[in-house]
Amino acid sequence: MAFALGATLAGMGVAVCTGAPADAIAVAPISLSVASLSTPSTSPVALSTPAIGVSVPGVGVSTPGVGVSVGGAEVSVGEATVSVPGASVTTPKVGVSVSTAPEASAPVPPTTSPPTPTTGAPSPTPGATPSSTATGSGGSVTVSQRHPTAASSPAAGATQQPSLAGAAAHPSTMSKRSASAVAPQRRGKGSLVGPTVTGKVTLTAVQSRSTLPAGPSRPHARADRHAAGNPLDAIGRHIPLPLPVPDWSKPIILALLLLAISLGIRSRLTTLRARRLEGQRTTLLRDLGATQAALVPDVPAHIGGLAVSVAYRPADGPAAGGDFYDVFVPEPGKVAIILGDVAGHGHQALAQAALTRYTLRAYVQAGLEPRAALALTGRVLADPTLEHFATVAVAVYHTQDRTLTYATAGHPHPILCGFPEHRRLEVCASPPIGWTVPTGRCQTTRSLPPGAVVCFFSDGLTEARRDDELLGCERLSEIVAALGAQPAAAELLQQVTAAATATPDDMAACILMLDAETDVAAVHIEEVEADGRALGRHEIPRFLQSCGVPAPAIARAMSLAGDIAARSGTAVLRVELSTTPATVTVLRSDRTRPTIYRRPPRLSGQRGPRATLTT
Amino acid sequence: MSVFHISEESTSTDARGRAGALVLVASGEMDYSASPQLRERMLGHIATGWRHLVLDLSAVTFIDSTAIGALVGAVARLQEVGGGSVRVVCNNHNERVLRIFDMAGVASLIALHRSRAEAFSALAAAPTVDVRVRAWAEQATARGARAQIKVSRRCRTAAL
Repeated sequence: MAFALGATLAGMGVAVCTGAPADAIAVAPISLSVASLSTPSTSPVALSTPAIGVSVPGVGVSTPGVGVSVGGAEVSVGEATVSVPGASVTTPKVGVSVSTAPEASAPVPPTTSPPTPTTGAPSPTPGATPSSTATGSGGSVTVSQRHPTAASSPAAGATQQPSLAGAAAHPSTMSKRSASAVAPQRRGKGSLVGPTVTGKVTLTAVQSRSTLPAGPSRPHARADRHAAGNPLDAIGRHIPLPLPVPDWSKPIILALLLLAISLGIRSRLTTLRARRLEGQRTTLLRDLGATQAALVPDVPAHIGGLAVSVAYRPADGPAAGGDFYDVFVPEPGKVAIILGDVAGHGHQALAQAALTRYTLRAYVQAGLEPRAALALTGRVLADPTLEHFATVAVAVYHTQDRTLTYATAGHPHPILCGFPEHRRLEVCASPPIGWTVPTGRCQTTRSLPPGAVVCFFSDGLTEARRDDELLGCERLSEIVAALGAQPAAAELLQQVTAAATATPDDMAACILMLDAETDVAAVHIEEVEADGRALGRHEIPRFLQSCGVPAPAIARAMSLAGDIAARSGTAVLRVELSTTPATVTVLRSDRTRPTIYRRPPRLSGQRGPRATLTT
Repeated sequence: MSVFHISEESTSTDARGRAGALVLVASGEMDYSASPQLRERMLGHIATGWRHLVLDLSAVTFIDSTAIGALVGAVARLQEVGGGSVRVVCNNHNERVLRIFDMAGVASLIALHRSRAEAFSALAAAPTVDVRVRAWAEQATARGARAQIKVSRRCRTAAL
C-alpha cells in the first residue's frame, strides 16, 4: 500500500462536488458527518465511523470508475462498503482523493472545523465551487467526480448512497476539481435531513498509481487534458497554418520554421561577410605586395653595364620580413646597390626597413659615397632604445673605371667570385644602423675583373640551419661559386633552401655580374676612419696588419693618424692593396664626412643675408 | 627551438656596494629569441647595482646582432647610471662568435677578451675603475678567475 490514509474523516462533513455543470449533478449537497475515525496503519484502511451523517436529499450517487488520490498518490478503490444500519451501500468504484499531511495518521479531534453550510436546500454548496479545498483536521479530503455523467447516475431514494468520492482527478486537474470534505461541528440542526447513517466504511483494493492499470477512462482523460489544458493546443488554435496537423503541433512547426528562417538568414549573412572579407583580403594582399615591392622592388636585369639578379624569400608568412634591397642609378655612370636586414619581424620591421632603405637611397642619390651615407644614416636613425636597427650593405659601382665601392654596417661583406685574390677583411667593421654608435667607418673599393660575381646577401642565408648547424659563409660561397658564370639570385635561394633543413630568417640576395669582357687596371683600396679612442686600441694595427702593411709603415701611419685625429677629430687610413707592398695614406676625414647643418636656416622675414638669384 | 642558458657567477660577497664584476656565463644560441632575455638580465643586474659585467660567451654556439644589441644596450645604460663596463670573454676556438663580434663593429664599446683572467686583469688595469673593484679584480685575476656558480637558470624559448 502506497499511502497512509491519514485523512481522518472524523467529524467531517463530506461535500461532493463535480466539475460538471451544476444541473448535471443530481446530488448537490452531501454532508457526511463522521464523529470519529480510526485509521489503522495497515491496509486495507478501515474507516470506523460511529456516526456518519449523510445529508442527501433523496439522491444517492453511484460513481463508477473513480480513483483515489492520496497525497499525490492515486489509488483506486475497488469497493467501498458502507455499513449502515438499515442500508448497505456498495459502490463499485469509489475514488477518494485525499491529500494528507504527514501527521494525518494520528487520530484527529472530531470537531475542529467550522460547520459546513450544507443544508437541505438544493443549492450548490460551497464545496461545489472548483478548486475549493477540503480542510480536514490535519488532512484534506478531496472528492471529485471524473465523469459528469456518472454523477447523475440515479440511485434509489430509499437507498442512501453516501458517495464518499467523486472521481479521482488527474493530478494536473485535481485542484480544479476538488470538493471539500469539511467535518461539521454539529450534527443535526437541519443539516442532516436523511436518516443518520452510522457505520463503517471499508476501503479495499487499494493500489498505488504507479501500478494502476490503464483503465478505459485514461485515454479519455488525456484527451480531455489536451482539449482543455494543453497550452500548445490553445496557442495552435490561433495559428492559421494550412496544414492537416493537430493544433498542438502547430506552435512547434512554427517555431522550427522560424528557426530555419533565422538560420538561413544567418547563413546568408555569413556568406556575404565571407565574400566581403575575401575582397578585403585581396586588397590587403595587393597593398602588401605594394609594400613589399617598396622593400624588394623589381630590378632591371641589366643596368649600367652590370647584370643584376635579385631574389627575396620570406621566412614565414607574407609579411614576415625585414629584408630589403634596392638597385638604382643615382647619377649617370654609377649604379647603387643597397641590401639590408632589419632586426625583428612584422609590420614594425617593415616600416623600419622602408625608412632605412629610403634614407640610404636619398643620401646615395645625393652623391655621398657608401661609407658617408652609412655614417649619416646611422646618426639620423639612431634609436636610443636599441630596439630598431638594421644591418646594411651599400655599394656604388662606377661604370667608368669598373670599380665597386662598398661599405657595410653590421652586415656581412659581399661574396666575391672571380677575383684574383679573395681576402676577407672584417677586422674593422661598422656597427649596425640604429645603435647610438658611430657607423660607416670602413669602406672597400675593388675593381671588377671580367667574369666577376658579387653577391650581396642577408644573414638569413648564412643562418639557414642544416641539422642544427649554420650554413655559414664558406658554404654559401661554395654554393655561389657552383652556380656558374650566370648565377641567378632566385636559384641561389633555392639552393640554400635545399641545402638547409630550416630557414628561420627571410633571405634576400642581390647578385651583380660584369657584362664586359675586357680587363681594367686592378684596384683594391681599403679605408677605415678612426678617432683618437679607436686609434688607441689594437684594431687599427690589426687592420693594417691584415692588409699586409709592413710593421714600420704601420707605426708611422699610426703616429700620423694620431696627429691628424688630435687636430680634426678623426683620421682616415687608406690602404692601397693593389700595389706591392701596400701603401698607406692618412687623410683628414673632412673630405668624406658630410657637412651637417647644426643651425636651422633662417626663415623669411627674419633679418639676415638673403640669397639673390641673378639670371 | 633555440636553447640558451645564462648563469650568473660572482665572487663578490659585497652585496651593498656591488664591488666586483658579475660574471654571466652563456651557452647555446643567443639569437633573436634569446636577446630580449639577455637584455633583461643585464639591465636587471645594472639596476641592482652591478657596474661591471663580464659575459662569457665561450660556450655560445651562435650569436647574432640582436644579442650584441642587448650588450650595447647594457653599455648605454651603464653610461647613463655613471659608468661601468661590459666585457665579453670568448676563447679563440669560438671563431663564429668572434667573427660576429668583428662584423658588429662594437669594439669601441665592448671589450673582447680571450679568457676571464684577461678580462679581470683588464678590469683591474682600467683607468676609471673604483678602488674596491680594482682590488677585487686583482684578487680575481690572482685566483685564476675560478668562480662559484650562484644562480643558474635555464631558459628555453621558441624560435620566432
